[in-house]
Amino acid sequence: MDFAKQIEYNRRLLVEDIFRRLEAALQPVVDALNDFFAVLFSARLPADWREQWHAFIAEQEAAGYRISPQTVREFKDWIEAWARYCELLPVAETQAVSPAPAATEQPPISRLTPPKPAETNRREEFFNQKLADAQGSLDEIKRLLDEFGGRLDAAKLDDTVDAEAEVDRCEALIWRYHDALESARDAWLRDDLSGEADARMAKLLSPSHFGLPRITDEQQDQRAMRQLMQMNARSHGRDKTMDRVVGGLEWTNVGLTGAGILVGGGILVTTVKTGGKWAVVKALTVAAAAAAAEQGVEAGMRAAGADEQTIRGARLAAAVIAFIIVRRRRGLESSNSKSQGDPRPLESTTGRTYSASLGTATTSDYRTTFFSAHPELKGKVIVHHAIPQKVIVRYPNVLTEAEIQSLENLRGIRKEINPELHLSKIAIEWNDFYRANPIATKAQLLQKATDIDLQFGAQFTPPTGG
Amino acid sequence: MRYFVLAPEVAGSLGNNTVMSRERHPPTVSRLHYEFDVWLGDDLLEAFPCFIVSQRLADKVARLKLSGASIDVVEVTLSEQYRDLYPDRRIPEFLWLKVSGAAGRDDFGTDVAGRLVVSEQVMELLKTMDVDHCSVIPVV
Repeated sequence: MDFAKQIEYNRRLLVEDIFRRLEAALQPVVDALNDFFAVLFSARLPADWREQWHAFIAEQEAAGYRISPQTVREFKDWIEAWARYCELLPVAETQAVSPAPAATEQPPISRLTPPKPAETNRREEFFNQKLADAQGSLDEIKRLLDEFGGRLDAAKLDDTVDAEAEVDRCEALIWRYHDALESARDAWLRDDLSGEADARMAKLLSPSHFGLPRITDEQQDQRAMRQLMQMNARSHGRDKTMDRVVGGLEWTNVGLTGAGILVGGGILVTTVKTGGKWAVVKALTVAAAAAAAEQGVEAGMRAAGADEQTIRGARLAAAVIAFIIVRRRRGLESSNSKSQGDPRPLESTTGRTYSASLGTATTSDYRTTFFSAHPELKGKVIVHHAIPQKVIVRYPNVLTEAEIQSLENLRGIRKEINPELHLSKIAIEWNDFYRANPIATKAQLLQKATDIDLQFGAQFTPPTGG
Repeated sequence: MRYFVLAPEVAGSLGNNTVMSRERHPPTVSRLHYEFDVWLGDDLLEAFPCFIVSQRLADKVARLKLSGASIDVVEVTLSEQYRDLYPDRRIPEFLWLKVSGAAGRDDFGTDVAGRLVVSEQVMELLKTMDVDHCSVIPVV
């Protein structure tokens, strides 16, 4: 074996991988730059185009990108030269002396296009290594769930079990899993690898098989989506089986949207933050495990070769971790969330935490039901269903007509607050739910209604959402 | 060629007369009944996994011979909520945009989650229509 050649080859692969990551990190700037130029050159440049250019740079720097002064200058020179060439300079500047014929030069952008080596088998080795890395992350997730589940099992009733480290570790493993697959897909695309290679990638389990959120980084998900699109485009006309393989990849963020089912719908979870760290009170998380089972945790663990005892513990662990990841994300999204740094236990459904519910209607005339309970609102509100009537079409036999039409499922929105905007947003929420949930349980439907009530409840009359 | 993932306005839901096979996900719809609940005025609408378009948009899609989609009939009804919201408002004729193309290859395609993916040419067309409530994510 030619070790020098092998080392050089491996080095080049690593450099290419770094290039790919850099490109991905810089993509938002490239997109913004493209948009800026598209607008700028759509007509004659405005007189203050230089100020606009510097404002654009300031905007990018405020977003965390550092752009060297030399690059800023070079682009500015190029804009001027190109506009002069296209006769798009502001009128006041057209009288200026024409610059050198550098006008047709392209901007100083160097595309990072790695070379294509001939040794396809070595490329596949790199691809295989990335698949092995992804599998390694899954194996670690499985071990983590097993260990954490064992700890939860062993804890006594009402004991507080620390979960912060496990959640951190799990988030990192989910990210690493996707990072490895991103590299693998990139290699597949770059080196035009076989359909068989892609089939092996598609056979990998994913974090959602363990009841965990499928992704923890939306930008990573967006990049993966672009790759999938490219793979999809390339596979057509080459190999019929590729459709199935590409189609086998999942995009729906079921874990993140569904993890909220651990609160509400009559299911109790009590999580606590002690010293700013997440922990769990065991007694109440048993119910959470039942909810996780609905998400197919058992199937994922069995497929990964776990025994029955492991499955029971892991089911509990996955439910707890998924729940905390989602709560933590929501905390990050809302900087003034009352749970931020709150040392008190979060309220459970037995306390003040809100949960949507259903009753039993005696008539299918839902407006009569609503206005009988709230006669003062007649003519003032639009009545709609928290869980839409048409879930009966989507998910037959999950809810009854009497439940759907019950007063508990009805909400009013005042006509003067532009109800159509709120109703339209709610319709999008449910559309996304249908996309993410091929099947849905009553608990999941109630949880979605709970989430929407918490988001829009202040706009309802009477207000809902606790 | 650049592609775009679209999230059109959701103006309603699948009505009771929809015929749908749920053996696969996204489900397969062989007869579409779209019931309007609320409509902000867009020419392109969604009710997962289906899309409908106004007659004027359908005409242009057909005229431009865009790939990956065909036009078919859809049963359109108005829900009680719609009639509460807009007692006197009628809606123009809508048609079913049956998307069968591959995302990233055809002018119209869907990804594995059933999201609509369109080409630049379609985007150019949509810019001439009312699609103010359609979210767009560039793909490539």
